[in-house]
Amino acid sequence: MDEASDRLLVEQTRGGQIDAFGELVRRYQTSVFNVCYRLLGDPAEAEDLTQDAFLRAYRRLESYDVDRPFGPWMRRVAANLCLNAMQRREPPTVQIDEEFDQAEDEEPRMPEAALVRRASAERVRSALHALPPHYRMVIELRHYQEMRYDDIAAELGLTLAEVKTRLYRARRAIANLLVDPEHG
Amino acid sequence: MDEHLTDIELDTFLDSAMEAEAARFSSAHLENCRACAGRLENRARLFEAIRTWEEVPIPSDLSDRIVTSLSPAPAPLGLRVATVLQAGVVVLIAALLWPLAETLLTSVRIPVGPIPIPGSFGVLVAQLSEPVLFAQTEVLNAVSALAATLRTAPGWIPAWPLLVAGGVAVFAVGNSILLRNPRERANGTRRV
Repeated sequence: MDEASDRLLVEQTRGGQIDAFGELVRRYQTSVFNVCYRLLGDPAEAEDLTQDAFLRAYRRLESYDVDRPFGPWMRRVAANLCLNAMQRREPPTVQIDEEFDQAEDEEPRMPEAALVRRASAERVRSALHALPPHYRMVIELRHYQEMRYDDIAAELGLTLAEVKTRLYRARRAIANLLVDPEHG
Repeated sequence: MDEHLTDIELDTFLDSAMEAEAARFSSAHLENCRACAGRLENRARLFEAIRTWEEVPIPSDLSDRIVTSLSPAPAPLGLRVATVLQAGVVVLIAALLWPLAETLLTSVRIPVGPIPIPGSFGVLVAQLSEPVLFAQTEVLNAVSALAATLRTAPGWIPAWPLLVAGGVAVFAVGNSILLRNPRERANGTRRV
C-alpha cells in the first residue's frame, strides 16, 4: 500500500470525510480480517471483529501517529480487540493445557525439515486454529505482525523470558500438529 | 567445544532478539558446530512453514457498511418536532414566570466592597421588563382569545394554568421521544 496516500486518507478522515475512511477500510479489510480469522478461527466472528476493529480505529484516529504506516497500526488494533474477545471467552480447561504441555515436552515425531515439506497452507491454518488461544496470540504477534519480543511482552503483560518460552512452546505445538493433526 | 545452544536460544537467534554479546557468541558457535547449525536450519524451516498462511478473502466488502454506520443519521421527524415544541414550551414558561423572577431579581442585593448596593439588578430588570411583559401579554391574549373562541375556558379559569399544564404535557411527550434509543447516539455509530 502507498503510505503517502494512506496518510492523506487519514488526514481527510480526521477532517470529517468519512468516505476517505471507507477507502482505508477497502485497502486493509482483508489483512485485518485475516488477523481476526487466525486468532478466532471462525470466519463469521472474524468478520464481526473486523468491523468492530475499524470502528474502534476510527474513534481512536486522533491518537494515531501519521508518521507510522497505517496497516500495522490497524492490525494491532484488531489483534487487541481479538485478545479481549478471547479473554472474555471461557478459559481453556486445565486438561487441554496439560495435553499441550505434555505434547510440547515430547520430541517432535519428525524432523522439521520433513514436516515443512508436507506443510500446506491448509494444514498451517488447521494447526494454528488447534492451538490454545495464548499460543495463537504469540504466534500472531511475532510471525504475522513481526513485533519484537519486548513489544509482545508489553502487549501481553509478560516478562521477556515468558515470551521466549511461550513462543517456543507454541512453535513446538505447531510442529507436532503439522506432523500429526490429531496430536495435542 | 562449547555447550550446544538450546532450542529457545536458536529461536531467539533467528528472531534477531538476542543481546549483542550473546548473538556474537551464538554466531561463533554455529560456525563450528554442525549439530547446532543443522538444528538452526530446521527451526528456520518451521518458521517458514508458519508463514505459509495464505490470505483468506473477506466474505463481504465491509467498507460501505462501516461508512454507513459512521455517517450521522438524519434526525427523525418526530424528534425534530419534539425539539421545536420543547423550545416553545421553555419560552412560554419563561414568559409566564417573569413576574416572579422580576420580584426576586429586584430584591437581590450584591455586596460590593463594604457598602451593599441595593437593587443591583434593577437596571437590567428595567431594561428586560418591557419586551418580556409585552411578549407575555401577547401570549396570554392569544391563548385567551383562542380559548374563548373554542369556548373551552370559562371566564373564571385564568389562562396561565392551562398553558402550564399544556406545556408540561408537551414537555413529557417530547422527552419520551428524545430519550428513545439513546445508546446509539451516545456511541456515535450505528450497527448496520
